[in-house]
Amino acid sequence: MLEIRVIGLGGIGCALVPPLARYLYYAGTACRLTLVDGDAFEQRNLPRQAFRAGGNKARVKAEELAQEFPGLSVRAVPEFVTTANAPDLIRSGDVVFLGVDNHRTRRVISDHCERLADILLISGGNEWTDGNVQVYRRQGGRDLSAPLTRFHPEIAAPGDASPAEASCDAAAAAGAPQLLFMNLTVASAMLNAFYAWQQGGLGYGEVYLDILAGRCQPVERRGARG
Amino acid sequence: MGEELREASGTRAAARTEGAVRIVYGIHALEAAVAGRPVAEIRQALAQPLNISPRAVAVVDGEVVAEGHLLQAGQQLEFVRLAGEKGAPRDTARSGFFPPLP
Repeated sequence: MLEIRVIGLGGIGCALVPPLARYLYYAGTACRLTLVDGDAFEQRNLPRQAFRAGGNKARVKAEELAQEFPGLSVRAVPEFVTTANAPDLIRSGDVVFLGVDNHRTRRVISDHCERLADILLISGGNEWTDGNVQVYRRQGGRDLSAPLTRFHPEIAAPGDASPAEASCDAAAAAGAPQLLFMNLTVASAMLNAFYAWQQGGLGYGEVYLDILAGRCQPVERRGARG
Repeated sequence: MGEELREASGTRAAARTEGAVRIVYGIHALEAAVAGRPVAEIRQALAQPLNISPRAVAVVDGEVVAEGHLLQAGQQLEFVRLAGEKGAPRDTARSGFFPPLP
């Protein structure tokens, strides 16, 4: 059974989860979907995030999916990912969709994935009208593409806070809004990477997106050093 | 330098003209006859037109290189765009963008 983890249910995660669940449900994929987020939905999230009730984001979205797709195995983990709980939340063989807004969590998860034998980590993030998706793959204990930290010093040495200290929404409230359409674009690119992987045709390690230019640019990221 | 740069197609084959190096930053892909020049010179020339972050790592054919690395024909130089993080820059005035909720 394929274990799929979606970490972060903000603008990107909320856009990603419904089509992912629909795809898995109707494809009949034997899987379990785990939603992970320690944050709560609030009224101020409505411009970019669809939800039927307030409360913990993972629990609310898991309940929504369970109602819409009966029989699809969905569970909620109402926690932020830390070095302490990462080993319990992410295991070898998992597919991980990472849609967080901070480099510190990306670092924790990338480092943890480097210690696993098999993993597919798809991480997306965006600025106002551009964004990017990194794909980290390990198979049989070997990197097939680069971990998030190798070419991204901002992730390797994060200068930002953990989500427990400052959430995406706190940042938005402080004057750093995000564009709904950019969240959708990044979520779509993450799902595209997942589908390409399923089909055995995932040939890039990072893809850049710009909705004003109407362009995307895939880039190879070799796994082995030297 | 500007006249030596031209937009390249999405394939690396475009960089195989004589002395050409493919240069990538985010969605931008350029082809330039810059073989023999150091990475630092390319970064300086393109920093403003492509808005390359000073923190962007230089990668040649998949390996991180120093600023003094001399480029060779047929290589691909990428300045790795920083991972998306926080939406709009904090100094970008966006107040009033979101319409009031019904």
